[in-house]
Amino acid sequence: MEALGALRGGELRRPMELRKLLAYFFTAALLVLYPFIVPSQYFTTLATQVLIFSTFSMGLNLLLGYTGMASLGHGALFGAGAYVPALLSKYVINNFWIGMSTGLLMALLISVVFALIAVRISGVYFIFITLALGQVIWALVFGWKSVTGGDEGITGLGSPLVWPSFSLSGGNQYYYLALLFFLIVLMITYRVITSPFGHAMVGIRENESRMRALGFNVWRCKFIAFVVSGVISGLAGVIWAYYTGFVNPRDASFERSTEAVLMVILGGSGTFLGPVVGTTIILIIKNIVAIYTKRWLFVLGMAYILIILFASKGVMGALKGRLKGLLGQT
Amino acid sequence: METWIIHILNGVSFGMLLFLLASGLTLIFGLMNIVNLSHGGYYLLGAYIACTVMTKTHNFLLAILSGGLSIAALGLFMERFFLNRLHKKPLAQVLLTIGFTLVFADASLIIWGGVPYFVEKPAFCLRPIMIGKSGFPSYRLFVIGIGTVVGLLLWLFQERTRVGTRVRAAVNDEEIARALGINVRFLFTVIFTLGAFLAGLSGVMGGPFYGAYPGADFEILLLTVVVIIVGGLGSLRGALVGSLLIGLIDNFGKVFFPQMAMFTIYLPMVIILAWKPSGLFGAEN
Amino acid sequence: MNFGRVFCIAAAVLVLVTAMLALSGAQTPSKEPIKIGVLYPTTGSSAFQGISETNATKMFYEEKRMQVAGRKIVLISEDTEAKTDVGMTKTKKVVELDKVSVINGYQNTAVGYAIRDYLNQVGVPALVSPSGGGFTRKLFSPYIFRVSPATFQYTYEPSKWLFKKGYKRAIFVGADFAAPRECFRGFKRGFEEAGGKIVQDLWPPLGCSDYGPYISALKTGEADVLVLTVWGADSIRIINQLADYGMKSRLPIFGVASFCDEGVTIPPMGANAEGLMSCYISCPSTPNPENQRFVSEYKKRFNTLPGHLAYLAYIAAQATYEAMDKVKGNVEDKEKFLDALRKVNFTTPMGAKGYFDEKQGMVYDLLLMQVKKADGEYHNFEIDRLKGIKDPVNIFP
Repeated sequence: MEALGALRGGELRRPMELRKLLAYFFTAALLVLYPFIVPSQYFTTLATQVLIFSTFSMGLNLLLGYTGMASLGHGALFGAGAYVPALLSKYVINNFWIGMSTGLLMALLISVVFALIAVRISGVYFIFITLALGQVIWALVFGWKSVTGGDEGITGLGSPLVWPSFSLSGGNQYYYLALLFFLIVLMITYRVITSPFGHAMVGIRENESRMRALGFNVWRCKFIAFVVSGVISGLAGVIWAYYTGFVNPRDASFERSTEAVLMVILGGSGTFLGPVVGTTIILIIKNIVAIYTKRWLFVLGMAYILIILFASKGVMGALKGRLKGLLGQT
Repeated sequence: METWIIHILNGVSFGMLLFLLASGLTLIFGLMNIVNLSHGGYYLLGAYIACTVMTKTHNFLLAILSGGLSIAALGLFMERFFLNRLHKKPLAQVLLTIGFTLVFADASLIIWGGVPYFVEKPAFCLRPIMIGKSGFPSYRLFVIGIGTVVGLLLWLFQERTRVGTRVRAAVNDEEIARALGINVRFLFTVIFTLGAFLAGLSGVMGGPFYGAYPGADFEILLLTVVVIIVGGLGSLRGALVGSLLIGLIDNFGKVFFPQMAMFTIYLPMVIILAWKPSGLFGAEN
Repeated sequence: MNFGRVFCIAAAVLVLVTAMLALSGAQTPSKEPIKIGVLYPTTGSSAFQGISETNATKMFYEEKRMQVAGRKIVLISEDTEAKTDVGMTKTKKVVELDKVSVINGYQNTAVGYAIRDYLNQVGVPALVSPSGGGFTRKLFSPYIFRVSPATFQYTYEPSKWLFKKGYKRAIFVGADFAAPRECFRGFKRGFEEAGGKIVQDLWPPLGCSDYGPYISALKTGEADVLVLTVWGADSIRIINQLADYGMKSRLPIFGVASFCDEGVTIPPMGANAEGLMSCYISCPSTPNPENQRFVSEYKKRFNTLPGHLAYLAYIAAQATYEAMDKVKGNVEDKEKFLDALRKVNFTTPMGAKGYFDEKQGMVYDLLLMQVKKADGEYHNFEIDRLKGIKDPVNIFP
């Protein structure tokens, strides 16, 4: 009898793994073949945007969702990542890797400065300080006309070579570039979340004083979380600059910051794929719903309100609860 | 000499407008810890409503009452049915209030169109006051007057009535406050409604000056946030000092450092952030 | 984290999105209508402009019964929000998904500049109306036709007109961003060449809420005219604040371009609008028959007078239509269509000739106007006209 049971247990386990493997395979195939299976280039355009902004919001989620610190200034970091390659290509050299590394460096620098100022402040006040800091960067970018082009920004970023025989011309190349970095950031965030550091972040979110009592250097954890999320935001900004081919003070604006925060919260802050879901929903409303109605702004606003009323943990937060019930997992 | 007087009056009057804006927000924030990002939306609707009322009746008092009270009603509605379930959930408040701002913005676009509106000034403010050889807008003096009155009333309310102490008690420890017989729900609703009234009022007062148009809501929100950061969250005194400071710095900055015009609003904020992040009169938290 | 479940959801979303996009209007190619992209900002701070531009465009094509040379016309209208990335995304949408043959749009200069490379690359002709001068200069593209006069175009000659009228010393106030800075260069050069002198220039930030400091600094005693280059809500604010300080009566005021805009900036200025001079391309009160027909039709449909930008959008549609008509609706022959666009020559509502110069910028009759009271309301009235003004590219490269 036990032998039979053991056999059955063994057989039951393998189909589950197979199903998971198939799911991974199909998702991967879908992602890779996407530009070729969709009826028009426009789908790829939208998908590329979803990937870039998902990268941005996933980075922000580390700070917002997992550490519980709501920053309304990450638009400045995104913008820094976008402006540096643009400035470089205008004044020095148009090289993708140099542009990317300097962009990341600048995002790192600014994140560190922001973090040094803001991390010691907690609660609702943190939201405002980050908003203000973001605005300072925006004012710099908008006001320093001779260098940044002011409101007209910098155009004509062109399509530099990423590596020999792979230049960034044409929509599909940008899609794959964005996909590549999206997957990289996905893996990074997964690693961070599942690491002891990640658990410390959640601990700080849930009960800061207890973490302190347990001997954690809370300030250091928050600082690192801020900087990591800032650099990831900068990375998204770099890809965005090359993808659109121009930069504009709007890329460092308060609006960018709030958009990202909304994408995280809507999708489910503190969940792994929440930001991706939130980004997709918001971009769908802005671009596709906007085709059908002039009142897309209203629809977007209502979406925010309704989500809070009926699914206050965001889409993924609500789904997770349901999934647990359905699948009987923990 | 008179140019200096004009400059100072300029700065103070702009500062007073900022104070009207900030007082509502700091009240809601500071006392109740609610992130109300639809504050700019309140301003905008208040200004639009005042526009319509002034066009039809030319009665500024009526405009003030209708602007202030309608937004107070809106605030009441939002607090009662939406925000009251979101205590201690700042992220949800952010999402909700931004959602409402977008709804207000679209509604305004439908009702008033996208053309910029400026509220008509009250009849007694139409001629400039002469200071020596130069004219100074009498409406701005009116704003200074109203701002002072509002400031005094708020101060009295906070310091001299029991409502102020009760609210502070309720925010500090809700359960004990309830145990002491304080009606916490009612109190919170009252405070929020008052804050909304102030926002609507600032829309009416700012309407002739600043205007009402799509986009003004976020601009106003940013200005208000800067004042609060400088003055300190939750402090009425901070809101007053912060706004006057910013008004004066902005004015003199534009006069003496024209290339830095963009930064004159943000400079005081950056200095405060570096030196005392909780603001001039904010509680060290 | 159940990946399979996530994958199913993602696949479902993809199917839904595809369906929505497919249903939104893509049609199988055959004898299909000509699709025209209409891309103006219909929400956000430029909403009032974008809405009037979209309305004027629709009005024109509806007057032509939505067809040209026997072929149906379909308008695909999208909102650029006056934001560069949104403008780009919507442009990609109309080009890649709807496959439009031509675009009327782009009133915001930054948006126009941002999409220039893309349009040049995909080869879709666009009739645009920004105020910046880039398209006839460094950002020239054979596919882009600028139907709006550019900064240098509407300041260089008019500055000389001002001088000739006896205003020999000027104070120039401009919002601090690219277009007014270009206007200043154009104005200064023309004014000084005529013999005038700029005694002061001030640069309040864009969207300045308080012009107090600038107004108090005006050297009114040393000048004959105040030249203002701020637009939209800023123009209303500065005029009202000038009046508040009692400064408005001290100096004649000359507003650049759409400073005095019928239906938009003039009504909120109220009585303060009286006497304001300006120079741009349209004036609803001018009594020529075509203008009166256009104005009354516009007013009947949209309950307001057409502002400058509505005229520009209408002119863009006129030019597009004439070219489409000339090629008998065969817009697929790109070379012929582009050639027809280059050679358009029609009459604008103001009775002027509408045609492009070699840099594909439209040549204009610039109207010098002054606001006067008529029947209890304030309106622009033409007081002079500068005919056939080209963008002075050789003087301001």
